Amino acid sequence: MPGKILCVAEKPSIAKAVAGHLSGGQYQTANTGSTYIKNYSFTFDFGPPWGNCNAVMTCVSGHLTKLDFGPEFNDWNYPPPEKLFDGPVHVTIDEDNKAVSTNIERLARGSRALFIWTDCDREGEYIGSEVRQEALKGNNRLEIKRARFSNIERAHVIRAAKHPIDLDERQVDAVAVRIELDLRIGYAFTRFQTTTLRALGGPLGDATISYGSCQFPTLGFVVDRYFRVKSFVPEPFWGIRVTHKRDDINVVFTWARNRLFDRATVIILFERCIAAKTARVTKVQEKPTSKWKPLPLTTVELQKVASRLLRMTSQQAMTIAESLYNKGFISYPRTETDRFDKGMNLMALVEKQTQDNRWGAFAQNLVNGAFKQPREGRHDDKAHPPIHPIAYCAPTGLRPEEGRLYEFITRRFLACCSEDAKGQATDIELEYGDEIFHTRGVIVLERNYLNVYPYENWTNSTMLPNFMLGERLEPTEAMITDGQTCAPGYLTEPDLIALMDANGIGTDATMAEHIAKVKGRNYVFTRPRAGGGGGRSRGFNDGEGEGAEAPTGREARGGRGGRRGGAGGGRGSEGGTGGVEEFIPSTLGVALVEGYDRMGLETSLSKPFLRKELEQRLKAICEGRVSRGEVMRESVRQYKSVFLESKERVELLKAVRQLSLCLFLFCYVSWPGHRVCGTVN
Amino acid sequence: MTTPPSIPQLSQALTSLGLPPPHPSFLVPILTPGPSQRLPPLPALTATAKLRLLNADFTSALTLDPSRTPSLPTHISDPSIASRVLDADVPVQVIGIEDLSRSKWEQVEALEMERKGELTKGREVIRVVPDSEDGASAAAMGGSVSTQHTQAMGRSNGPFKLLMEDVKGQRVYGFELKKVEKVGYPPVMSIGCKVILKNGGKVARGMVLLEPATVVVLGGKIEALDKSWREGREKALRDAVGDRRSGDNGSNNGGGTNATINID
Repeated sequence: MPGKILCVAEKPSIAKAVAGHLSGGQYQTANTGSTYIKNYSFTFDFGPPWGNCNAVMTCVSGHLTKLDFGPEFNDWNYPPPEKLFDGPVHVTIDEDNKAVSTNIERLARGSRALFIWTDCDREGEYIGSEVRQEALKGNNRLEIKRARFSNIERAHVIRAAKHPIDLDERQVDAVAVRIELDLRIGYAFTRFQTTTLRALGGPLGDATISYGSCQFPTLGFVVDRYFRVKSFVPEPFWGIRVTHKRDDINVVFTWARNRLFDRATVIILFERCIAAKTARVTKVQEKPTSKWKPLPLTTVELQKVASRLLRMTSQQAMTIAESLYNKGFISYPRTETDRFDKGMNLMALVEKQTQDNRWGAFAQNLVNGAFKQPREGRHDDKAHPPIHPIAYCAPTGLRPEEGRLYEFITRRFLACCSEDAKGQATDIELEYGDEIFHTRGVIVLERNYLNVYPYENWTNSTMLPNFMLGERLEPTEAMITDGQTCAPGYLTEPDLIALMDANGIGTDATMAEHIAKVKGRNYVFTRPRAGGGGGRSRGFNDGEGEGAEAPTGREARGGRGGRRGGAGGGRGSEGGTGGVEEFIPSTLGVALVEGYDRMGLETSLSKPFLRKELEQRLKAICEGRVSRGEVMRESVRQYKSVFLESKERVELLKAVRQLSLCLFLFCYVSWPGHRVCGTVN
Repeated sequence: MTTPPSIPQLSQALTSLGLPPPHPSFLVPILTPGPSQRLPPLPALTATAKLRLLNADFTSALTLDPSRTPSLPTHISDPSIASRVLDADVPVQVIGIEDLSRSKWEQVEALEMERKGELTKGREVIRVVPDSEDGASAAAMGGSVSTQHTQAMGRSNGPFKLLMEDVKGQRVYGFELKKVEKVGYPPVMSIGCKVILKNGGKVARGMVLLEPATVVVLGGKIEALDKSWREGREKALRDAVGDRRSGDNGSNNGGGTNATINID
């Protein structure tokens, strides 16, 4: 049967890779009106009912169309921003995308069918619908299909080409709703905030104070934590520690009550221990213990680990993962799934890693029989498997950061296919006075997955001497210990991602962008976390551009120390500063959150609730439980009512000015008594 | 027609339930039927009297029979006495509760979130939505403060420290040496809850050591005290940590341990 099949991918790298696989490397390349986009022609047997066909593979470059208001809304003051909630919007094609669209339209004319090869996620589904729209303009009799794939390994791609499915209209609808709501809500609130605050003059005179329904809750988390740290009050606590020396080993027993916040009580309990003179061994238990191997890798987990262990921001990690995916080395990096499908041939994937000189031997051992099915998490997005390596890649073939991320993904995968680490634990419990104390010894017997997964460790504790059940002993030492509670640390990127994830802010695919955005807007800044945990004694560290040096002596420089130059957004890119970054809101960020919180709206915009509800509705559209129209109406109504209430209480937002008092809006919030300011350049 | 129960009969019925002996005049209203009403049978009267007794104030003159109600030994709170034992079953009422396993600030943070209508479950922030507009105002009026405390305070294993007072109004602290059922923050244990400190119960350095064998939690509450305790809880905790921060550590930590603080 004659006729050509038009294939359209989401980006050039995928187009090229898929064309390469389908054609067996035999394709002709033609230029298009766009510099970045090529058309690849070849023949391929798509199987029934298509048979052996001529095919052209091309691509778009992300979204093809854009939603916008008409020119009647160009003026920020009139019509009033609330009109943006129901004013007409239009789909337009950017100047940049004109050539892309023309190319698709032209190719569609001589084609029999369109195969959409955009990434298989919600956004990809929508981009597929944009492609469809353009292609139908050229040929309205075109049959539309969609290739379902989650990596660009050859066999997988060929299978996808032969078993196309239909576009998922529900996902398309969900994204359409999201885009329209983001536009309306973002425009309305950004204009409202900006015009309100500009009127205050000063540094805000020409600033754009953007609003986004994900950005603000993200900022809200950072500000909440900031206040928790700032208002924290340390409190003393006391405990009891018993030490017994036997066989020249000092065995430390910890108190079952851990610590109490009342000194008198602890002293009384301690006194009763001493009065009892001897302690009795009430439990001696030896049992096997294990340290579980990790779960298969999801996007959120990848981002958290990347910022914790690989010193990359979540956004960098995603960019690098994307490039590894585009090169065909790893599976699709945007996934919520933490369980491998039972039908997947994991052994074949392990086998590909045997040639590596770092983990090859470990992989070989798995192939030789040590392979264990990975643990199964509870998440399954039904679209993509957990992130795993698809093909082997020697370190020389990658840029250093790509290499590190590929190494992590591979080691994680091999760890998943290995065995839990095994050990032997001994628990000993003492009854002393009325109190219970215990100690635990662990001996690691088999390291198993830990041999390939250096990101975790498990070590032997000190050897325990023998204790007999029921024996009485006189402890060598018992003492009252004391300590003080210390403030939580500022949010780190893994913390923030975990919060966003738990509260439904953004999707695994967009979280990193939201974080980058609040940094880019100067609502929050990051700096390398100094030392462990957050204590109040820590000096204020401006940290900017000074690498990993701990802030010793910085405090002495007092208020003048932290001159902050440039925008905060770029910090993440330098990487390798030797520690996790922590997030601190700018005065402006704090002021905005405070402003909205003070309005006392039923649902403050800085809280995750509204957005979470929206994300749940989008999910409901995907599951076919509600229609696009219903969600649109309900969400617009909700945000519009919040908008109108905010407008009524606008005076509270203006209090931003009182809060910041000085002109230094784009600076770190200072510690009490250490006002550290700087202006934005 | 049976003769109505007498005061001694009712009193006897109550003490046989393990309750302290009530003052005769406390029982009079219960035994006085309203006009054109007939007096219910003894078991019903006993139940009514028990309920009223548990919700009464033990320290007011006409609640318990002073001649038959044991009280705490004088100087019970003397921290210089390392150890002593109670020699009678002493009825007391709880007028203060403190969770010793959690810092005050941690409790303040939990209460604050509750006040804002939020609740954390793991990392997830959950909005606590009142059922209706009425629900919201009821919460503001203190109507749902008890649920608030249940959520904010969670289920803690303590140990809890209690401030208790006997029939004469003499006060003593006690803490859970071992876990005692029904001891906890309201509503597990309300302010004004009645407790029997039993004969043989240990007292160390002026503090009663609470353990299941020597403590019977009878229940009940004193409504007014309970309400003001719950409503003033966050402020009290804040003041307590504030005090500690400004003053030196040895000073009275929020009305907490002044009886026992100078033992070291």
